[in-house]
Amino acid sequence: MEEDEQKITPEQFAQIREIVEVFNSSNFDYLTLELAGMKLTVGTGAAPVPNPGGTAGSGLGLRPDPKTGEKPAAAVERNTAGTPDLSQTGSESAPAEAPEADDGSVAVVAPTMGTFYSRPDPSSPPFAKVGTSVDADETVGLIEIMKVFNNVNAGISGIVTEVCVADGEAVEFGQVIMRIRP
Amino acid sequence: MKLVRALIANRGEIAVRIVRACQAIGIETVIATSEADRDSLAARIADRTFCVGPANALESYLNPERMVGAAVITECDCLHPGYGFLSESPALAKMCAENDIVFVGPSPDHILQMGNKILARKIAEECGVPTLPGSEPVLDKEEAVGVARKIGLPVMIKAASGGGGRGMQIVDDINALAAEIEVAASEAGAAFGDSTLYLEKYISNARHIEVQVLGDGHGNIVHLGERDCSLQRRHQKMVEEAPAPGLSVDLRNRMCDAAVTLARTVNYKSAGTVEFIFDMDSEAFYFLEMNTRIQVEHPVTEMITGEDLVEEQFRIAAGDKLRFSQAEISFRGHAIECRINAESPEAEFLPSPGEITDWQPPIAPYIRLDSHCFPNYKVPVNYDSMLAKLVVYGRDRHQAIQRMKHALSQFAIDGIETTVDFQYRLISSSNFINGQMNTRFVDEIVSQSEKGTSGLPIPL
Repeated sequence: MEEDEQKITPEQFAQIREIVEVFNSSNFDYLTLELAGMKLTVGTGAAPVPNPGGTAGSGLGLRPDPKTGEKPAAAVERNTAGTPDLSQTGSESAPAEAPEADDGSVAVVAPTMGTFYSRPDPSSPPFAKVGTSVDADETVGLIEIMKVFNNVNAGISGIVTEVCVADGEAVEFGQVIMRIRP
Repeated sequence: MKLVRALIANRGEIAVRIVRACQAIGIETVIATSEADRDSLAARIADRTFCVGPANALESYLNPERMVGAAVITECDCLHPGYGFLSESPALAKMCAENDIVFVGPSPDHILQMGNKILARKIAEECGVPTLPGSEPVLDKEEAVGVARKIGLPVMIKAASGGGGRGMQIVDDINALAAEIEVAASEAGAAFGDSTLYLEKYISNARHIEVQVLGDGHGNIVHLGERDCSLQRRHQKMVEEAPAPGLSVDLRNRMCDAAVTLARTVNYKSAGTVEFIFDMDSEAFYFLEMNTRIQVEHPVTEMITGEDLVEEQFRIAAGDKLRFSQAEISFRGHAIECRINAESPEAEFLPSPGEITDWQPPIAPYIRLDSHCFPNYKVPVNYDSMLAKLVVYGRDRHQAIQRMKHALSQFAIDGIETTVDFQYRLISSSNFINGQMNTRFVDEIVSQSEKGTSGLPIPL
């Protein structure tokens, strides 16, 4: 708990105790609460490190209620560095089935699951970025699974209009990696 | 060690069962799915879904690299394999260990030792557990004929790496044996990648009785009683119950002791099942094989003991010692499980995949339903046909049968063919009610229906 003990009033202490009790009975690793003049972090194990740059995946987005489709109002922030968030569910993360976008671009989907690499090695430029012209049989990325690297081919000749996955990000089978306009 | 996040490398009802066990003990869940199961119930209730491959199981549920890869990527610290698929793959257990993922199951060595039926038989013989009269691996047809003459016909040809009712053939004619050996060897080679065969005496009036064991790897082994799984169709279990009906206290104790002895000999860790064949005529029992996984029929044991076997698997995997001694395990009442499959009994149990338009499971006291189905769920064509395990509990076997009959009669499923009505007929038959069944019982009932001697829907 990161808290300046001297400033705690008995009333605040009781509230904190209640928060810790709720946390203890939950499945969460960490809870960070920021109120006026107070920041409270509770957790188990090593202290959480904020996500660098606050990129996507910083919130444990609670799943919508399957019946109403409504998301619960409150979401607890969950910043465990490097730990993927658990916000994706089957229905939410279902990949687009390589549809043609409005601009006529075609999705390149992950041929296998694994870790996506946009460049052949960390010091090289990416295989392809927005605006790059690619041939159908050109490698546009790599997917590594258990130290085995698989090429991702463009599959279609054209101009890259969007890169949807960052270098080093985990991809599921069938996930859209980038879009190419023929 | 505290386990934080589990990858569930399975699908269907057991994936749901494992997610719920994790939720109960505060372990986060990542469900590894194929493309066909992205919107499954397990995916809906797990903390995260990770699609590992296409519907074809070879590239998803049967692919150890992808399963362990998914566990690494999603930063799971443990992996539960469920049953079937990779649950008894030493390669998966080994790959988990190499990647610092705790395998929720036995060690790769246990899976190897017990998964190979010839090795397992040898271990059983060495620790004094009775085995069926049979052979070492048979090298050729001539040797097989010699063995068959020695142990007496009928014999069963078995594949050393077989399982789940596959790779077995009964032979009662010595002249047909040579040809059957040849066919069985090529089938076993194609199905299991191992054409090694052995012979066993075939018991015609047999019951299939198995003992549930738990070991913690610290030398503590307990049994949780036996289950009777005699109601099988083509070696696939249909109805299971605990305890086994009509078994004397002495026989029950001897079987459970034998199972514990076997598990203790290898210092077994995790949940396992020691299967026996029980000869009704001679009242002798013989070790068949050991299953190094959680089994489909584990709920009947849970119902009469009050324990949660999947939860115990996680505790053992975390390195904990068993929470209870043998004396602290109590047995009460009787439980029956009926497997509800998407199959058409009228069409030789042909699988009946498709959309479940109506799904109304029975609700009443003492019913447990383990299922991944819901209204408008589409049963995929790619996997096995089990929809649900309907389990009931009763003070005694009679009450359990009454409750099961009622539960089955209230179970409404529409859109696909199911085995609900067939199960009702099975458990209503006088032979079942009187506990007079053996492993051929279901096949006999099926053939009676086909011949019209006991046509549908007349109770047997």
